[in-house]
Amino acid sequence: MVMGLGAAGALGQLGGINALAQTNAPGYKALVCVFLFGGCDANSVVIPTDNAGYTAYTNVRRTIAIPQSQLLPATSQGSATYGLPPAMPGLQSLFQTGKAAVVANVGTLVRPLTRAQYQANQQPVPANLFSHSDQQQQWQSATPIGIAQSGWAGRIADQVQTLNQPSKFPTAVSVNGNSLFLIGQQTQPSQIASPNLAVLDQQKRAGDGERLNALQQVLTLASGATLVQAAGTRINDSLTVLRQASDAFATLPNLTTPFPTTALGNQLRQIVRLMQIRDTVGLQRQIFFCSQGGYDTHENQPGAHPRLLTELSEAIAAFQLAMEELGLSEKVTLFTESEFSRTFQPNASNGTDHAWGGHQVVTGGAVRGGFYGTYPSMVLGGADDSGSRGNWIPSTSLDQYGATLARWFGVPEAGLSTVFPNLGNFATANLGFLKA
Amino acid sequence: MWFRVTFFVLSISLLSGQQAGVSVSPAAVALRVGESRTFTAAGLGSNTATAVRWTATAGTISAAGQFTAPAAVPVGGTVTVRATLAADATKTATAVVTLQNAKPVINALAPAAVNTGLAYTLRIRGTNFMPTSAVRLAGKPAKPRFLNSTELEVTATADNPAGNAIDVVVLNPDPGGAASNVRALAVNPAVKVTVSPATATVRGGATLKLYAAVANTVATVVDWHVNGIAGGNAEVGRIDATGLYTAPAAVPAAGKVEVKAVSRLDARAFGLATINLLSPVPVLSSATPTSVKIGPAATLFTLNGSLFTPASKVLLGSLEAKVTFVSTTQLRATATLAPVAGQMTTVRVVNPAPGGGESAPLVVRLENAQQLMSYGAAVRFLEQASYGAHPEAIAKLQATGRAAWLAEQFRLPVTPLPDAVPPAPNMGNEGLGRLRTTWIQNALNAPDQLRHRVAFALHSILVVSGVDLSEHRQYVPYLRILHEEAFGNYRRLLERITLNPAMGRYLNMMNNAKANPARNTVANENYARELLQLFTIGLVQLNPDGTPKAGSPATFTPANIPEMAKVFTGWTSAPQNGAAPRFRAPDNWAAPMIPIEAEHDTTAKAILPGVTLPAGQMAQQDLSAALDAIFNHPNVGPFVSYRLIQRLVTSNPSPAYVERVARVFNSNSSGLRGDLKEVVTAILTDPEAGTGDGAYSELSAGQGALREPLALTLNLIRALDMRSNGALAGTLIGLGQNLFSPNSVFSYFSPFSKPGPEFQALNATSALNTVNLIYRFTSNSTGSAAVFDLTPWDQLAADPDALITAAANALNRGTLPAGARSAIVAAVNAQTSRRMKAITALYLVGVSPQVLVKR
Repeated sequence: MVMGLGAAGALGQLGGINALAQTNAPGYKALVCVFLFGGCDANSVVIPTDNAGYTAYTNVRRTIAIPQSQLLPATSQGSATYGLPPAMPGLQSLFQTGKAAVVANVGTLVRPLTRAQYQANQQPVPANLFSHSDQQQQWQSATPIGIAQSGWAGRIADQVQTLNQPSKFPTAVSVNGNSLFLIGQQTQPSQIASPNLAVLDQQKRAGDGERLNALQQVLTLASGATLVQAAGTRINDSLTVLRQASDAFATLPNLTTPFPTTALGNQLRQIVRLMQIRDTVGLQRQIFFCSQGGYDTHENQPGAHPRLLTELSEAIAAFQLAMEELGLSEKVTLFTESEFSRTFQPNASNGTDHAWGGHQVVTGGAVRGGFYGTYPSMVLGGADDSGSRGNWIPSTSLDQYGATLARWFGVPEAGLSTVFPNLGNFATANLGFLKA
Repeated sequence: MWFRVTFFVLSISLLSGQQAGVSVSPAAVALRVGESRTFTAAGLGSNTATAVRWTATAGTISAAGQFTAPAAVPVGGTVTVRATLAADATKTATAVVTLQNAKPVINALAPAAVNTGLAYTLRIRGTNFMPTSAVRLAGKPAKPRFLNSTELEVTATADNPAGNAIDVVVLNPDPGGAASNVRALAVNPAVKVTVSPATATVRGGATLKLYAAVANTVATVVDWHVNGIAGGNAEVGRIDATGLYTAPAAVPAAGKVEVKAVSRLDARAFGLATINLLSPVPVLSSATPTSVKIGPAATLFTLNGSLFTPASKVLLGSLEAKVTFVSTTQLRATATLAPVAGQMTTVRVVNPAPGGGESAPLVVRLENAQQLMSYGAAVRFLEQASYGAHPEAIAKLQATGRAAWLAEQFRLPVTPLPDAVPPAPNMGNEGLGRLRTTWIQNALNAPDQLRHRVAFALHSILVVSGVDLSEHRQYVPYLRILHEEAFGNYRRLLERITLNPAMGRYLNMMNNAKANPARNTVANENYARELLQLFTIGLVQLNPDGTPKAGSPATFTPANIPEMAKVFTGWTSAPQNGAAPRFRAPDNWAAPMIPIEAEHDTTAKAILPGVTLPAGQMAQQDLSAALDAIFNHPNVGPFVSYRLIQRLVTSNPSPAYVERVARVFNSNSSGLRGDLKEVVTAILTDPEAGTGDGAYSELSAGQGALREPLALTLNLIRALDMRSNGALAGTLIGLGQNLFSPNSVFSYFSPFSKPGPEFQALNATSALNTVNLIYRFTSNSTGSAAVFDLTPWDQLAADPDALITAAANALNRGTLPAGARSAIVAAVNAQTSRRMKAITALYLVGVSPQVLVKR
């Protein structure tokens, strides 16, 4: 069956890039963002296991609390110990081998903020808190106020682009839809969701080559109309990248680590493939975006949340094994994001509602395993609550979390404030959860 | 075989007259005419010849006595030869010469052979023939015609069987009657004629050379006949003396003719050939008119060319015209043309089987006769107000204009959606597959196009997703509300949607209980938040033109949300089967939710800045008051207008456009707020929609909208007049739109996404799938999802320029940038078949960003 005629050819100039890339291969690094859409209830991911902490937890959570005996021991800070829900043995194993860290109560901030300041409206705060769309954009852009045109990973890609030259292959790739996260000020991401690209260079019959040429011309014609131009350019660039990836996938090395055949498992498996072609496409730095949806658990959270966390945990564990198989464990760091956490206090539907600061997880061989940041006080209306239901005001900003990753990735000190314009508002730019 | 005939040679005595002592020797002799004989004389006193003078009464005699008989027998039959002594004239002697006729000789016969049983005329050539000569043929006398002494002619019939020669003898009469030598006249078998080829097939108007082989004679001339007619005629075809047959344009009823070659020598001898006739391939050289205005009246075409037949058909695209056969070089055809995709058709002449075939097509440009608005403006309007510019819909809109079109759309009843099929025992409930397929079929074919378009726009704002509501019975009541209220009032729509059980489940208003201090729970905030943020007022206070007010002040505070959440407590499924109402009742998807007052929070509620609902209200009172307060918020007009404009017309409307529409939302022609019918009218007839002819070509560079996958796909199907089984949901997922199952309440696309909402779904994967989808559609290779007849496009491919123009007419309002056209021309010309030319043109126009972006 003829499957259409996608990207044009003329990509034969890659040979030179290969040789160059391989000589620099030891410097390879990659960042992998797993975005948990819907607002993951972090209160149900990192749970106090010491008696005092667990009591505070269960006093509020009541209807949706996980029994203390079922929690999986994971990490500690001082005398406080923390566990994972029973759905996450895979992630637990990474904590046990020191390849996972939790960063507690991270969120969008303009500058450090107290409950009093928030309630008195004395400090700038991120726009449209508790709104999915706005908080997703802010987590991806590190732009808490105003309309963002680029994402912080895109700006990291801008900062490291000299390491990837002269490759034309995008540094930043999403394997599941478009995201603001990867859009740079100079560099553009792409999206490569499937190993089966069927890029269809059917230059077999008479006239096929001419049709491909015409396609490219039609797509890149200067039309003077903004949206027409944007659509044509995006499609043409996409086809070009896919063609390049498709060619590279043709000689994909084997991978023996099994991946769960879940949506997230498939995405991380695809990310591994894109790492495996790094030399072919000539990249020393890669940034990936994948995601998992369904975390907006307003209702029946005890039913829905464990299924989501199982998928997350299994996929991350498989990914780490794959990195070890490929010898990339020290070079690749995976981290989670989510637009917000959820109210500590449940609602009437056995669910939780939109909140603010939450706990994130970082995994990989470069991670200094353990607990970072400050766990919230778990008091409704207390010092950490922006309101009355346990809407934790973040004690660590997204900027600090991201900057720690960016520094490890190779963004120079001077570039960090370009990537995170508000970074200077916070005490430290390095949370220390990654090895130097 | 010769056999000898005995001739009787008559001896003629030549009596001598002599004197005593004188004699001539021989004294008597017989001679044939012309023969010579030498005489001697004796007893005359001298023995020397010279002494004697010789005379004869006829013939000649030399001085030496050599007598030559005359050429003919003289009267009396004798000649006296006299010798007289020169010295003494008295001394004389005579001899008598009796003369006889000459003996005939046959030298040749022409012809040398004859055919058995056949009459013939024989020319006998020889010598000594006489007018009185007789002839015997095989022993039988025959009367010859004397031509001269060397030629006789005789007519007879060859009775001998072949191989038995006829002996020919000529007889001269007495005196001296003598027979000639015998000459054999060969007798051959009868004449035979064979025609080759014995059977052949010829197209009308074409020629065929036939050959006649004539055996057993050298007389090979034949005469040619067609169906018994010498030389043939116009009906059966003509044949010339050389056997060159020219087939008639029209095939006779029998479908074949018989050609006969008859020996001119022997009319009984002939050969036959059967010629099967095929209709010719007609040649169409011109057709008028070349441009037609389509209306109710039929169009008369005059077609000139050649090899037309009375059975010739005329096709306009795939429509068969009524034909009048004028001549083999002219036809007249009448047809009532219907609008076709691309506004171009072709005319061609088709001759029927046997044989037959079609002429090369000629392009006929079509235009709708009634035009209250231009073609381009009509197409653009339909791309905004319907699921695509079907050719018939374009014609209708051009004929009626926008106002009448809208009025009819507002009148049309709702096309119903089917109920769920009850599940079989132990089976799950029906999913959304059939609902998606049915809805797509309706969107493609139902008359209430605008309602579908607006209902889907409302769905994109007031989202319920199949991700969570995955059963037909759950989803269809929600969709029905959107269709029923598409032209209704936004306030009423809000209430119906609020109480719809699917929405209740999706955003957790169903069974949302008031705060329970014992369990430490409070009201679920989900619906309260999204109702405000996504369905009505948004997060930021807006100017009337939809722009944020200075400083982007919030529309509500975080503290309002738990308060608003209390409004939406106490609602549950309506009771069924006579059951008493109770909270957390069994699901009842078909009926609006009902309140259970005991679960409703009756405390006062500060739902919005400056709006507090008093304590003690019942659930419906609180609901009505809250919805009234929200509905009357000044943000709603610009908020809803902006989103509807995006869904229907353009991604980035100017503030002035938003304000013009919002003003209608705020107060319609009767002073009523929230009238969607007038809002939709305002959106579609605004100058910025570009659907009026005056403003038609005056769009600014930033206007337009990337077509969302649903609209892109359905528009392609309608624009190309395709048939679809509606099973397109899987295809749409590949393009980035999961029909009825957007990822979240944030819908398929964010209204704030730049450069336009739909770009959110345009990534490498969906781009590739889009390109491939358009190829599969335009190459008619989807199986049954989008099927059309490529044949008319094949016909247009005979004229690549017309082909590309037609593709641009169908898919892009007739416009195509010069750069795109030249690129497409090159690609089309590189194709080797008409089909691939047609596909290439449609594909490349269809995939061009000018088409992907609705402008």
